[in-house]
Amino acid sequence: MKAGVKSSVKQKIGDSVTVAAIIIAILFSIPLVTKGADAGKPAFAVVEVNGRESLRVALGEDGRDRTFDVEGSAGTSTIEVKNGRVRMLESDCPDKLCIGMGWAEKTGDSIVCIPNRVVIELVGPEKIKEVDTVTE
Amino acid sequence: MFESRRIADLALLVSVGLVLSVIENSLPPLLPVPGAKLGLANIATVIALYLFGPKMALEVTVLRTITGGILRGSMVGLLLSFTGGLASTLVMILLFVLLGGYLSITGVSVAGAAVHNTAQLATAYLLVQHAALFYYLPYLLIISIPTGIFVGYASRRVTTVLRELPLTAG
Repeated sequence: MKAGVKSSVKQKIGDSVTVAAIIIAILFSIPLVTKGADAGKPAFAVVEVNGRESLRVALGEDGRDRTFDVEGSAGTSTIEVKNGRVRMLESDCPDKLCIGMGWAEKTGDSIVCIPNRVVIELVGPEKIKEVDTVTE
Repeated sequence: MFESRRIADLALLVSVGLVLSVIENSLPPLLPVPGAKLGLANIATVIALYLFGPKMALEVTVLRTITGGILRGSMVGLLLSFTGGLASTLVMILLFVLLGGYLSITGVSVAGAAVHNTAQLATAYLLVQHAALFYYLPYLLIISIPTGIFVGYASRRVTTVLRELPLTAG
């Protein structure tokens, strides 16, 4: 019924252009991945709920192994800290993708739970001064 | 008669989309990246676009994302699939109408997949308000190429067969 169907089968020039455009977009977006990933030892795990920092856990030398709960929009997220690494242990969200993300261990790594609005980000020691100037 | 035929076709396409998303949700996630999915349900939208036109494609997307979200019982899931689906359908319609002569069904579907993932990530960003989310953008764009090609291929096979049948003669 539509002419579009008949002519839609063969590969066309625009297909390559589309893929090329996406590849260009990928190249431009790669800095988003590598920016935070300086692979250094993280000093803190910063936990944010709904875009606000709710707690900050020391990792490394003065950190100890433990688990703790944070309350988000969809329920409770249980976060485990072990040997300077952090992971989502339990979550009340429906898809459990945050648990599937596994351990975060390098500075710049993050674990995101969209339904529960919880973000865990590992930050290096250089960020501490920055944050020290902020008062609540 | 004509109108009821159209409603039946629409309901059929929405059902196809819902069944495909149920199948997809029962599969393990491709990658531990939020939104990294095959996008099987988009086959229903692409078929609607190529067999019935832009209006049908838009209706299929809106209905299947809303009903699918209600069935899964997740408001966040509904919001993400609705915004991603709507943005990708609008872009696919634009490409189909304006550049249909230069793009095959696969090209349209790949563009749709890329826009879907980007729009979904933007919505997720608005929800969690954390820039760390954009960390996933390159991954989501990379996987949109193979998933878009897969959806385009499947849609091409289906539309080629359906066009030969009197079913969609309307």
